[in-house]
Amino acid sequence: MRSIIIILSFFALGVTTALLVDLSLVLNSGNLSTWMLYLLIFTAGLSIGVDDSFSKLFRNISIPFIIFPFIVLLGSILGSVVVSMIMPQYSLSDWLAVGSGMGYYSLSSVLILEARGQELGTIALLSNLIREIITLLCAPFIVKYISPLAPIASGGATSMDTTLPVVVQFSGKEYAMLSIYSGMMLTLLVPIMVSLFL
Amino acid sequence: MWVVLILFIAGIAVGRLLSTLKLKTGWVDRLLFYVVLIFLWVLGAQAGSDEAIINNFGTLGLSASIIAIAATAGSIILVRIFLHRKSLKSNH
Repeated sequence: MRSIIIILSFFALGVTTALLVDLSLVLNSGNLSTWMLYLLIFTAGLSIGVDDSFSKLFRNISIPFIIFPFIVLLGSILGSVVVSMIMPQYSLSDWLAVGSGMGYYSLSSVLILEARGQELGTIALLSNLIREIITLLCAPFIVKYISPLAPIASGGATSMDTTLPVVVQFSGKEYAMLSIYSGMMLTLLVPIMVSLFL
Repeated sequence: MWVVLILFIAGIAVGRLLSTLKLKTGWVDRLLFYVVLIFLWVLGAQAGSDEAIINNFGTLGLSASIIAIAATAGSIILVRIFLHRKSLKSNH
């Protein structure tokens, strides 16, 4: 929860700075957001690469285990299709790109910002942060009333790091491996899926 | 968007290399954290400089909440339908 507060306060700090000082010259000089995207995506790849746990995960291989993250992704895609039908102000591909962010707010929002502009980029950032917050706050309830797998599905790409503690606490330690594997697979899939839909 | 995927894969490859050569990697997660913080500030500053965003912040927040809830619910429901918890436990 602490990291969510830090994240929201940095975003709010940026908004406040812009409201107080005219930053348009700084922000429009060069391609700031493009370079931010490149730096962010390279660093994100680097952090996945240095993590040794990924190769170890494939030891307890089973078909349900392997397909789990793909079912999670498919569920979010279907959810986004439903939203596109009730909220036609954005196109189906817009909603699909936002909905397949899987809680990976930084990467998905910067990709969407680059391709579709400020408005959809802001929606992507907020919606992926909200997904993480929903997971953190609702984990005990969805474990009790739905399934111990629910918070892993809900966490999406975040189930390997920021929402892993609530999975371990409320679903149980026996689901930690699945949670890490699913989060990692989705982290790899997010940039691919989001770019595909844009 | 090809540049993005290439940079992502290049990052993973460099990361694997660092790890294989047993070089120090503790700084990577710290670097990522600071990059994300700067990025969030820039994103906030861009949103704050955009009058259309500021005037419609409530509407954007509502859209964000709806898509977040729908995507999350979709994932939970599909997993509930297709996957059984017993086959997904691990002992280590």
